Amino acid sequence: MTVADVTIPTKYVYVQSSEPNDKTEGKLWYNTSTNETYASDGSSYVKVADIDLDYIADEQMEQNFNILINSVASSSTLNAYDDMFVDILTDSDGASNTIDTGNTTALYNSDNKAYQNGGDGTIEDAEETDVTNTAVYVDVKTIECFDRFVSTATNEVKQGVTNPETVTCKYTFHYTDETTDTDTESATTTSYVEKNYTNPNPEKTVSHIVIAMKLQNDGAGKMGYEKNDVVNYSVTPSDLLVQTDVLTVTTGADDCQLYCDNTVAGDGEVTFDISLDNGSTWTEDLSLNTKHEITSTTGTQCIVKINLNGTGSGNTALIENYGLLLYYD
Amino acid sequence: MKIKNPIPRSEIELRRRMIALEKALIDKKVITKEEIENKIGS
Repeated sequence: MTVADVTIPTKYVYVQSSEPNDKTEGKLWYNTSTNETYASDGSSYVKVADIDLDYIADEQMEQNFNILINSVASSSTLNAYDDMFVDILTDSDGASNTIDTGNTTALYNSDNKAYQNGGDGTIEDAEETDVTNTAVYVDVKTIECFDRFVSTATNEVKQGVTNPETVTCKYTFHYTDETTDTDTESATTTSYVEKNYTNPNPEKTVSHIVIAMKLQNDGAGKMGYEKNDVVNYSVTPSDLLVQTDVLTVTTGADDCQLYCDNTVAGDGEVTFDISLDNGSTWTEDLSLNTKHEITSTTGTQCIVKINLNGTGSGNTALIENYGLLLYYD
Repeated sequence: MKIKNPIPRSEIELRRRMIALEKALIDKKVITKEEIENKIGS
């Protein structure tokens, strides 16, 4: 092995406490006071953590799709399929926007990036709200709970002046039976502190929660803030489904096969139904990863219903993506 | 997202004939699935 002569590059990474005078685009600066790294855009140093890193997420998503495509293809005996349709459930309508959220009844779990037929989950609302100069409750936020069982909730609360002052935050639980009950928490600090709320009637399903705040006094300039509400719910598993939008396919498909990365427990299971005529006729109750003959009317408007079956506690089914294979003889 | 199988159509048809032949052999009891797996692997 030979080693070629190289020119030692000019200083590229500055390690110091003050911002470098050298603003050449692309140069890096490690701030020894804050232990943070900055990159110059040609005129000033921008904290690396604040630089738009969406392109990395885009490339990661592309890779995730390629992994899914390989997995789906390998589920077909000798890869002998014709067409494949895939989507990843990174949000409720899918990364490729192929999920019909209007006809989907399964619950979207943003923590797992998956649809499920029940179990535990959270509803989150990060928006910061505030009240000013009021000693009576003012509503600041409503969180829809979709008639689910709610156990507890948390948020962050602070008051906005340095003089001793108390801000009180009230959660009003509006139940499906149209009754209400409340839990309140107070804060006196000017920095956010986490507060915990307990649903007084966890046996009732909750329609929505209204959050209100008030201050101890109504003097001018007094403010209260809250943000990062997280509502913990549980849903008893039942037979729910994820339905795709109409997928435009070549007419005449003879067979189909469906792949889903899934997690099931107890009696939970995943099956699917397929229609090629925009939902008029269906071939139903088909198992995953097996080639099935399509016996319903052919056509170009394909809809897939992915059934997440399981009734009662512990019988859960969850899917993270889907891959549909179509075969033409 | 739609993806067409990158494998040539003629190759796909050949693979399908192999799958159909294996099924026919097993169905007519000319050969058992175990015998196929012993010869060519599962």
